[in-house]
Amino acid sequence: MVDGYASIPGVDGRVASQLRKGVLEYCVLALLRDGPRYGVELLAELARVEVMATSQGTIYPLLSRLRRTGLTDTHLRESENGPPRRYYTLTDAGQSALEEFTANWPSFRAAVDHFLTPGETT
Amino acid sequence: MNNTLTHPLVRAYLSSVEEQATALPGARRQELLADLREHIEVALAESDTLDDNSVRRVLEQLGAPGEIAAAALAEEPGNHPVPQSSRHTSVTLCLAVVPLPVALVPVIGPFLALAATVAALVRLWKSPQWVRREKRQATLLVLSPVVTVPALAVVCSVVLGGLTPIALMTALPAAVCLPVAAAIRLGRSAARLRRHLS
Repeated sequence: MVDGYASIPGVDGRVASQLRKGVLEYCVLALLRDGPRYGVELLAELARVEVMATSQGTIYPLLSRLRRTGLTDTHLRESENGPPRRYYTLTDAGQSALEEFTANWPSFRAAVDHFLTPGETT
Repeated sequence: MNNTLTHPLVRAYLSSVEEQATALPGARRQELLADLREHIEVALAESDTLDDNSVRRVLEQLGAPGEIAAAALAEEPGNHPVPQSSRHTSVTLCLAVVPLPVALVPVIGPFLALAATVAALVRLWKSPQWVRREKRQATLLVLSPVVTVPALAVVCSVVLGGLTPIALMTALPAAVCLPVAAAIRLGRSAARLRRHLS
């Protein structure tokens, strides 16, 4: 019964999931650039963009690694509505990891486009 | 609001995640469960309604327990379990279970049992599809008849008055339970891995 919870259809092809693996953590870091966000909020924000949408629960192991490796920090903040929320903030290390990714991404994207565009590699 | 975690669907979901994540180190598994518990509490607190359907929706968005466990395992550095074919796995598991029955064969039985046990343990420890903790548990269970057969034989002979063939025939099937339990656990874990990672 419990195993009936299916993967989100359509967006979970092998290629999409492989691509997501490398970039998802930087998308999470980028979402924290403008200020702290709590888990549910962060996941809802990711799910808004179709290619980044994945079963939300699979993001928690990633968030746990970001905490553990010091790229993010968390603190609990009381809420008027229900339990306290765990807010994620970008640490200095997280900030520089994001900057490094941001600096590398355009040339990476251009390189992939170079190979994918017909006639470009001749 | 605290009662959302005692909702039967939520409890079934969390225990399924816990069961499927047995290969994770304990601390990491508890952390994952705590994160999911927090998520469920917050998501339901923010939900407009609080009925079975909203619980179901929140859990559906979280995704399949096996998928979450697989994602958590993939985050672990180093020893990533790698699936193996079901035939290879079945041979290992059969070798783990047969020693006790085979030991009853006259004369050569004990030697065959010893050979099967060694082969099973070598295949178990060389296999990349189980983590160290699973291998340790399985090894103890596979070797357990060395202790449980004499112990059960003593108990049975006391109960039945003397070491009779009946006492032995009762002790042996009882002792085979632990290796069988080990084989079932290993088999399930291997099948999960094949489903989610292959």
